Order: sequence, then C-alpha cells, then structure tokens
Amino acid sequence: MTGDPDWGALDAAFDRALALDGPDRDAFLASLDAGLRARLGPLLAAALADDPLFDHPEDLIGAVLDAAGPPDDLGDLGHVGDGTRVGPYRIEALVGEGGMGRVYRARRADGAFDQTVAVKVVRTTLALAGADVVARLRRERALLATLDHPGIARLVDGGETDDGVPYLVTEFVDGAPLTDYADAHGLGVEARVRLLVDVARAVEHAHRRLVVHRDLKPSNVLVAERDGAARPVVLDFGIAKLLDAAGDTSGALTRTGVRLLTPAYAAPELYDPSAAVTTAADVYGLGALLYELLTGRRPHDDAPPAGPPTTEPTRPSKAVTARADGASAAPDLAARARALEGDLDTICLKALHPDLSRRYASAAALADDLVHYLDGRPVEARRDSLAYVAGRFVRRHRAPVAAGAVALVALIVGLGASLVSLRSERAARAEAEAASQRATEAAALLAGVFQNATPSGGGRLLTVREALDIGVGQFRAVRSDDLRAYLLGVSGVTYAYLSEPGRADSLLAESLALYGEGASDSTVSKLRLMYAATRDAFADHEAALALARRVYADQAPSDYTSPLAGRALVVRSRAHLKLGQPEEAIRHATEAVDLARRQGYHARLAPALLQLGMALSALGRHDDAVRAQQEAVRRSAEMHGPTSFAVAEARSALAQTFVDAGRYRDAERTLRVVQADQARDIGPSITLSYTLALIGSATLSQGRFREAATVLDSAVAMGRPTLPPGHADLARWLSDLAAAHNGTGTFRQAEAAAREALRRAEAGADADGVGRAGAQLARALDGLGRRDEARAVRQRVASTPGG
Amino acid sequence: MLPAETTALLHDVREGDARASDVLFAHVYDELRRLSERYIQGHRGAVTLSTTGLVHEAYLKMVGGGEWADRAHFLAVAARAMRQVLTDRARARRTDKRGGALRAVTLHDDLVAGHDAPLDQLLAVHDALERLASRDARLARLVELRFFGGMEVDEAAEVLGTSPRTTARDWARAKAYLRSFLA
Repeated sequence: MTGDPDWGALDAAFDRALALDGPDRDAFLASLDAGLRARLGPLLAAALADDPLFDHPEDLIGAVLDAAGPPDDLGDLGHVGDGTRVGPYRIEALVGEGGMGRVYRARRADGAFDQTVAVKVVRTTLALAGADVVARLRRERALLATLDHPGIARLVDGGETDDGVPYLVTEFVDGAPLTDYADAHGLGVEARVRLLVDVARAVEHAHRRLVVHRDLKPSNVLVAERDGAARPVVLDFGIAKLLDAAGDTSGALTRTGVRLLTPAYAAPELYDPSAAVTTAADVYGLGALLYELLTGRRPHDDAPPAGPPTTEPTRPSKAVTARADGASAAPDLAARARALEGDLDTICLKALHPDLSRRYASAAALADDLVHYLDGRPVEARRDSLAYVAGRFVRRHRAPVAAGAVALVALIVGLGASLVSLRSERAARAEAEAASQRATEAAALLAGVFQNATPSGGGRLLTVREALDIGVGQFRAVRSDDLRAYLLGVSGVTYAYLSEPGRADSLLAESLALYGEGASDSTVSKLRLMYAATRDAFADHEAALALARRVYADQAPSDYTSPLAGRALVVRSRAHLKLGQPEEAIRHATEAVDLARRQGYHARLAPALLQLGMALSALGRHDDAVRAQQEAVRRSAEMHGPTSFAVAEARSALAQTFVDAGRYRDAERTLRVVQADQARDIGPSITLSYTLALIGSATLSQGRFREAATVLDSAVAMGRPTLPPGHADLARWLSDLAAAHNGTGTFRQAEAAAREALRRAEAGADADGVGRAGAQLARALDGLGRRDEARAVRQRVASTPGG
Repeated sequence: MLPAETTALLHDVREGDARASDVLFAHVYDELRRLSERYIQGHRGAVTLSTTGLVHEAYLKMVGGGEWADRAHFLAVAARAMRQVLTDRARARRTDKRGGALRAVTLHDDLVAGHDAPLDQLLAVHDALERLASRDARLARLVELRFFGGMEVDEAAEVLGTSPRTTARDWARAKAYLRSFLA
C-alpha cells in the first residue's frame, strides 16, 4: 500500500470514522464513495474488535521466550525437583518438555497405588488463564478418560497444584520415540509400515470416541516393547485441544493463529485458527509420521514453506536419496528408494494431501491401505490403474523366488531388531549405539563375505545359496553371542526358504541354543516356529509340538496379539495330526480359525482353514474338510489374487482332501490348475514336486498307471535333491511310483523305486512308509518271478515294529 | 551500568546526541537480554513475566528513580530494545532449526519445532510493523510501546505526548493496518 495514492484519503476517513460513534459514524460512512467505503469496512471492524494478538501479546512473547530457551537443561528440574510432590504424586525425574509444559516420571506418594506415571505440568503462561480454564480442563479430562486402547497412553488422573497450575497424569510409557526406535532397531520398510498401522488403529479408536489428537509427531508416539513385540503408544491424546480450550478463554492461543502446533507435522488447515479441527488433521499427522519413518525426513523438510504447506511434499522415494548426510542413512538408499516407489509414495502423498477432502477419509482407511500394501494387494490409493494392478501380480510372483535374497537384506537392515531390549530411554540410547555398532560390524562382515566369495577374475554372480554357505562359516566366528545367535538364526530361516531343511534345522538349533531357553521375544518365537517346521520335516513331531506350545504361551493371544499365536496353533495342530491325534489337531486348528476371524487377520485365516481341513479329513469328515478348504481357496484368492502361491497351496490341500475322500477326479481337476500356475511362475521346485506327486496319487487311484508313473517320476526327481533322505513324503511318492510301475507291468522300475522308498522309510523310522514300500517291492519281485525274495521282504516288513 | 551513567546518557540523548542514543540502546538491549535469559532459566515455577515486567525491571536497575522525562524516554528505548531482543532470538532459533543437516529427532528438536509458529508469528509482526513505519512512524512507535514494551494506552500516550483519546484511536487504526498486512 506504500505509494498507494488513496492511502492518505483512506487513512483520514478511517481516523474520522473512529472519532465518531453510533449514528454519526453510519452517516459519515454513507457519505463516502462506495470504493472507499468498501475498503474501510474490514479495517473498521478490525479496529473495533479486541484483537487477540495485538491486544494480548503476552502469550506470543512468552512462547517466543520459551522457544529461545537453552537446549541443554534437560537435567535441570527447575522448581519441580526430585522428591517434590505434585498432588499425590512424587516426582522422580524430568523426562521431557514440549509446547504444553514439562513431563515428569512420578510415583504415587500416598501409597494408594504403586504405579509409575507420567505427570505433565502445564506451562505457566497457560496456567494463568484462570478458573474457567480449570473447569474446562476438567470436562475435557472426563472425555479423555473414555479412551481405552493398548495403543493409547491412558489418562490416570489430573488436577491442580496448590499454586493452581493444572496437571495431567497418564500411564508412563517406557519407550523411545517412534522414529528413534525404528532407526535404533534398523527396522526395514515393512516393519516400519507395520508400526504405523498400529498407530493408525489407536488413532482410529480415539476418533470413534470423537477425540482428535491434533499433534501427532514422533515424540508423541513412543514404542515400548512388551513380550518382545514392539508396541507403539500414542501420548498426549487431546492435549492440544485442552491447551486450545485454555487459550480460548485467555484469548491468546486459538484465535491469534498461535495455535500450538508443530509445523513439520501439522495439517495445513490447522494454521487457520477459524477452521474446525477434524480427524483429517490426524490423518495428515499419521502421513507425516509415515513419511519420516520411511525417509528419515519430515515432509517439506527440503523446502520448508513459511506458512501452511500448499503443495504435496517431495515423493518419499525421491526424498530418501536426497538426504543431505549419508552418514546416518540406511545401508542401501537406492534399495530403500525402490521399496518406496509406487505404493508407499502414493499412500504417503494421499495422507499428506494439502486438500483435506482428498486425504484418506479416516485413520482406518489409511491403516487398511497399508495392510493391503503389506499383503501385496492393490492399494486403495491407486485402485484405478489397470497397469498397476497387473504390476502387483508380477511383484507377488517374483517374491518367493527372491525370498533368500530378501532374507539376506533383512540380515543387514534389520539387524538391531532382536538385540535391543528397551528398559529406559537412556538405556535404549546406549543399547541403540551398541546395536548400531554391531549392525555395522555385521554389514562389514557380509560385505566381506560377498567380496571374498567372488571367484578371482570371474564375473560370475554369486548365488544366495553360495554366499550363505560361506557366510555361515564366518558367522560362527562372530564373538558376540547375541549377534552370532541372530546371524545363524536368519541364515537358518534362509536355508529353510531355500528348501534345505537339513541345513536350516541344524542352524536353527544352534541359534536357539545361543538365545537360551529364557528368550521369548517375537524374533525368537519366529525362529522357534521355523525350527518346529524343520523338526516336523525330520518327523520329530514331539519336538515340533513342544516348540509350538512354547511360542503359543509366549505370544498368548489377546486383542493385541501378534499373528504368531495363530501360527503356533496351526503348527501344534499339524504336529498332533502327524502324531495321530486328529481330535487334538481339530481343536487347535479350530482355535486358530476363530482367532484369525476374531482379530481380522485375514492373512492367517486361510492357513488355519487349510489345517482344519486336513485334520477333519483325517477323521473321515471329508465334507466338512472340503468346505473349510474351499473357503481357504476363496479367501486366498480374494487376498492374494487367483493365481497366487497362497491359492495354489490351498488348492493343493483341497486336492489332498479330495484324494482322501476318494474323489480322484475332483482332485486331479483341482491340481491341474495348480500345476499350470506353478510350472509357469516358478518352474521346477520342491513346491511343484508336491503338486505333481498329488496328481500322480490321484491318477494312480483312477488306475491310469502310465500317466501316474510319468508324473510321479518327475515329482521324485524334483524332490530328491532337496528333501532329507528320511523324508516320509519322498518315500510315499517312491512307493506310489513303484505302484504305478507295478500297474503297467514295468517291474524292474517298480523294484528300483520300491527299494529306494524302503531305504528312505527305514532311515526315517517311518513304519507306515516301510509297510507301503515293502508291499510294492514284494509285488514287483512277484512280477519278476522272484517269489522267495518277495516272501522274505513280506516277512521283514511284517516284523518291523509298528508296521 | 550505574543509574547515574544511564541518566547522563538519557540527558545526552535528549540533547540530540546520536552516539549517546546508540550507546544507551546497546546497554538497554544487553540488560533486557540478561533479564529475559534469567526469566527463561527460572520461569518454571509460578513466575510469569511480561515484557512490561522486563522493561520495568530494566528501568529500575538502570535508572532507578529520576525525572519523568527520563523514564518516558527510557521506556521508549526499552520497547525498541525489547523488540530487537525478541526478533533476534526468533531469527536465531529459526536458523538453528532450519539450517544444517537433518538431525535425529529428539525431545528438544520437537520443542523447538513446537515453537516455530510463535517464532514465525513474531517475525511476521516485526515485518508488518516495518511496513507500518514506512507509512506512519507515529503509529509504529505506538505499536512498539504497546506490543513490545507492554505499555497500556495511557502510559504510551504519556511517552508519546498525545492525548489518551487520540492514542486509543491511533491504536485502533494501527492494529487494523497490521491485521491487514498480516492477512
């Protein structure tokens, strides 16, 4: 307006209008020309109003002075010191401070409850707002007390000190800020996403009770470890609103635009003091948390706007590689960028959209989309693009092939995860440093493995398998027991993925011995379940059962349970079934199905249904079994797509049930679909060998011996190099192959197959297998006219204990 | 600086000594900085402090009693110094926060981040006040006294030598202009 020719006239008219009042002013205004009057209107209104900023500058200035506070006074307790009492609470230590005031760890001093709590003492400038504020705080507290969710720090109490300073008491959460936790544990992208899903679910709980957080940021989401599982807990729910409530009366905060907010995480609409605060602001806050978790940067960090952001932030996949310092960066930024590209970029930007109507409609919608991402299903944010949906399927199909490589990357990136146990924030920091050092050592070790293993002068790519073989040798030399246990465990899991149960089994045993009986966190639980699977493969079902029981006890189900409890139940059911206890097997599988339905773990539902079907089938309840497994096929198709591995697995189990029920044609029809998918997607593999073996069994039962012999021969050829010598399934396939050859009259081949089956069944102490193999061997020998030998075999088999 | 020295400076300033004005300003600035820092260190309890309190504390310390003209003049200088103290802090704090490499998130980073809005707000007021000064220096001085010096309309009227009624009208106009600049 400088140089505005009308300024003088406007200012003079303004001054004159202010000097007049009532009707005189109205008359004066009416006499002005319309243009001038239009400009004067808003000025006059502003002049006559009580301006919260200019008429009451104390709060702004107080806030500026606070912001300028020296950053090194964390240990200084100021007026509230050790042993001081706030209400009935005895202050133990200052644990933090923020916009609203200071936070202390405290204990009830009157002995009513022995509970460690967090006491938040409101900033003095806010505390001065008066009695009305105290009443409003009390009302808001009642609302906050209705929040009851394991992901939300519970409001315990509240009141005013003798000096009239309001305070709030909440559950004390012993944990590290969300991003610190993820970094200290070197969590990978999926683990970080999973943490945010938990946070979003907690926020959704509050939203359904009409409580908005409004100030979501890493220091307000602490990750505690309970039963070895990371449990994010949201602090200070509704506190920002309480402060606003205080501000309203003092006329200082809400209407001045000095609404207390944290710019990096605040939704643009929060900057407008007149705008209503809705749950969309928390969706934005969750988006900002996700963004920082994934990229290590806050949204708009690269170009901080002066006011509210009006554009989308830099895509996370770009932001992650653009960070200024490589020092604290994840080991492989390019890989991280690739992981974020696509779905996570889209999800982040949708949550952070400056236009609130274009964000996710709710925290639940954001959480669901992240779960879709984790499950490899199309995400809502991109549902429209056909090419995208096709791309997802390709990615999913590639995944198992790359499982070994993924496990190796996890070895580097996810290293810290099992090593740190958080006792207090300070201890956590020390641990985190140690863990990061161990992570660095391990990464260097792995880098060495790959370098050393590269054949001199050869440009050949090392397979995961070869690298792993070399690596295991070096891992054994690692001095730290923690690190050695972890490395050997992950190597064991990787071998299991590579279908080498023998190597997997011994490494897992070694790793678990190092962890010790007492370890019970989720990492160890996962290793135990994998070990149960390899023990199962060695027909040690008692051990598998004991391991699964242990995991179930450690991961006892509750509303907040990990999916491991369900998996443990499925493993238990499988072991009972193998031990010939189908009723027990049905009981555990039913519990697993119920648990998955109750918790909405759709990904766990299909495996539970499959296992239930197998158990029912073993008791001869074939129709019930078929029903359960058909649901499993349907669920898997919904979740993973009609040609996914999960569907193939479900169809295979269903086919087995058809075989058990004598419905060989249904079995074969089901299996041919699976075979086509697997042959196309993964080629020769242990998975395909199982499918072929089942087809063989189905065709054999229909008396199509020649076809059966061909298919079973392929199954055995594929399974032989990877399955352990005493594996019961391989012995069964060989017996079936012998039966097929006996059927076509090719007795020499039948003899060879049957002898191998017998040898393997005996090695595995598999009495049923010995009986089956012996019967086919005797038939083959009869066919060859060697009746004496046949008789000898029949006698030997009959004398086998239990056979 | 002893009260006698401050009073002497104030006299020189009234005589139109520009150098004395700068020296006085520097001394008041230092004193207000010290006082505000002490405030920050010790304000955890029930102590609250407004700029009025800071400015008056500085006055008592630097001038003591003395003539009314000295007091009015001192308060005008102090309001300007207070404005400088606050804008300097806000700028320093923001640079601290925005400059340099990304650091790990700690409680304190968030503490700083949580106060970005007030810092921005204060600097916005400062800029708006500059714009106002370019148009009407008297209105800008009034805002300085009221906003940064914590003075009531009547006190400011005495310092500026205008009637309370005019001063109230000036204040109404000034804040309306500032609002329009901030919008």
